Amino acid sequence: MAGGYYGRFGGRFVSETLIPALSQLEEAFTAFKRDEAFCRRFRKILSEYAGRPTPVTFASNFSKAYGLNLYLKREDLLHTGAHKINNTIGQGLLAKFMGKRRVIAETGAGQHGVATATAAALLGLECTVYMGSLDAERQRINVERMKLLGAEVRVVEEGSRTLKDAINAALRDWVRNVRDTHYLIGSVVGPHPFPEVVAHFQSVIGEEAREQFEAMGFMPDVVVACVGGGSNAIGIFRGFVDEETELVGVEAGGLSDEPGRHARTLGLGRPGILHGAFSYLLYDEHGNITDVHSISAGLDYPGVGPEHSFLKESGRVRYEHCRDDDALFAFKELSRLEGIIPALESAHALGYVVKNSPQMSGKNVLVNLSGRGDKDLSIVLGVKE
Amino acid sequence: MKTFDEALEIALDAGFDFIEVGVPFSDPVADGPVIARAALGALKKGVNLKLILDYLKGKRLGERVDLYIMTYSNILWAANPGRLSGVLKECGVKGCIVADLPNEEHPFFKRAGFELPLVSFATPESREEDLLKLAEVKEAFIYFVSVRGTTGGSFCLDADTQRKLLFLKERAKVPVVLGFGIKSREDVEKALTLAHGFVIGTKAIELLSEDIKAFERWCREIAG
Repeated sequence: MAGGYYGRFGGRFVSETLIPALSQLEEAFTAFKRDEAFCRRFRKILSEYAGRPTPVTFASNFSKAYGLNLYLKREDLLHTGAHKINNTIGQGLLAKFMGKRRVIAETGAGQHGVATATAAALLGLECTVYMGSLDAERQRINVERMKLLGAEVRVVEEGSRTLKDAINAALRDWVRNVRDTHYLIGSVVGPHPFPEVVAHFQSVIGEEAREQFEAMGFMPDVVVACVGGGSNAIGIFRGFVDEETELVGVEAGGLSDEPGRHARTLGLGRPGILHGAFSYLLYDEHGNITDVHSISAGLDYPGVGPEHSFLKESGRVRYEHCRDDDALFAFKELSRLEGIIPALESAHALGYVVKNSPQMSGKNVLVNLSGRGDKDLSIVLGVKE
Repeated sequence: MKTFDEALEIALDAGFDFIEVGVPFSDPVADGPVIARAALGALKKGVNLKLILDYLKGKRLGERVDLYIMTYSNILWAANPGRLSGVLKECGVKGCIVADLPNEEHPFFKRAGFELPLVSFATPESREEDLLKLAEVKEAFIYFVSVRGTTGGSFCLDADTQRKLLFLKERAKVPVVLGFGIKSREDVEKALTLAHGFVIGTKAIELLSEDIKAFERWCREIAG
C-alpha cells in the first residue's frame, strides 16, 4: 500500500468535492488506530456485543463425506448473522471519533444495511441506508429490520436497481452532506482509504483464525473465501498471507460465462474505474458497466476491491468461481451434514470445495463461513419451485 | 442526434465561447437526476464515444468553438488513453472534463499516455494551499464547482466560497469558470462578477427535453 495504491490498483477516482473528506478520513483512521481508548472500546464491543471470538469448527461429517478436513470460521455466529458487523462497529466508532453525527450506507442483500443500522443504534448515530428497489423487494424482511433499528431506508429506482446503484446513490448523498456525514461503506471497495479501513476492521477474522490454528499446532493447507466486493476474503486472507497457506477466492459464476449471467469480475473482467478505484471490473467495449448475475445478492457486483486485483496479479491468491447450482448444492449439503445453514455467499466457497474435493484430498481446508443462510431460504425455495 | 444538432447551432448562434459535449456513462455518480436520466436515455439509444467523435469530426466543430468532452474516467480508460488523445485532437477537442477524476489523479491518465489537457477542479472545500496549487495550472481552464452536491442543485454561494473564488481568479494563469446550478441571466451576471466564465448543463438539458423553442429563447437571454 503506497499513496493509496495496492501495486497499480486503487486510487481516489471521485469528485474533487470528496477529496478533503477522504483526506480527513485517512488522517482520522491513522489517529484512531493509535488511540488506545477507542481500540479498547472496539475490542470490547466486538466481544461483549457482537460475539467475538467466533470459533473454528471442524466439520467432521462433511470431511468424511468428501475426503478432506474441513474447518469453518464461524462468522455466521456473530450478532446480525454475518461478518459485516466487524466493520460497521469499527467504522461507527471511527465516525464518532471524527465527530460526525450521521452515517450512510449502501446495501445489496441487506446484511450490511442491517449491520450498519445496528451499529448506529448502539452508538447513537443517525442512519440512512440506500438499497436498490429490486433488492428491497427480494429482501423485504431486512428492510423492516433496518426500520425497526431506527434507520431510514431509501429505495433506489435507478439503473439496475441493485447494489451498484445503491452505492451511486450513497456517493451522491455523501457529496451533499460531507460535512456531518460519514459514508460507512460495506466492503473493501471505493476510493482510498476505504478499502484499507474495511480490511483493517475485518482482519480480526484472519488474526483470530491463525491463532486458533496455532493453538491446534498446524496451519491450514488452503483457505477458501467467497468474493463479491471481497471484505470477508481480505479479512481471513490477511491472517495467512505471510504463511505457506494456499489462498483461494471464489467469485459468483452465476449461470454461465455469458455477459450479464455471472459476476466473475476477476475471472473475466479487466482493469477499469468504478466507485472511486482502479480495479478489475466488468464493462463493455465503450466503458459502460455490464449487468451481473448471481443467485446470491451479496455477490452480484461488477467490481471488486483493489487489493484483490493486486493479489490476483501478484499471484498470491488464486481466484476461481462457483456456479449458482453448485452453491445451492453446497448450501443444502452443509445444512444436511453439519446442521449449519450457510449464507448463499459462503456457500460459493463451500461449492468450490465440494467440486474440487478430489484435488484437496486429505488436506486441511479452512472456509470462511461469512454468514448464516436463514435470510436466503425464500431464494432457495423459489429455485426449487 | 437531430435535437443535438439543432441545439448546437442555436448555442453557437447565441455566441457561447465553448461547448462541452457529454459522453454518457452507465454510472454517472457526480450527476443529479436530470443529467443522469439524459445520459441513461442516450445510452439506451446507442450513443457512445465513437459515435460522438465521428459526429464532431464530420461537423468540424472544433474549428468554430472551443470544444470539450465531459465524461467519466472509465469511458476514457476503456478507449485506451494513449490512442484516444490522438483521435480527440483530430476531432478538434481541446480537452476533457472528467467528473470522477480529481486533480491528484490526473497523472494516472498522463502516465497512460493521455496527452490532452484535463480540466482541474476547485470546490468550496478547497483549502488555500489547494487554491495556490491551482493558480499554477497552465492547461485548459479551472472549473470551480459552486455547490456541494451533484449537478443541478441550486446556485447559491456563501461568503467563504465567494472569497475563495476571487482569491483564485486573481492568481490563476488560466480562466476560472463557475458551474453547477446556474439557470438564469441573473445567475450568470452574478457568476461573471466572481469568475471569468460559467458552465450550464442541467437547465439546458431540462429545456431541451421540453421544447427546442424554449431552449432557443433561453440561450439568447443567457448570452445577453
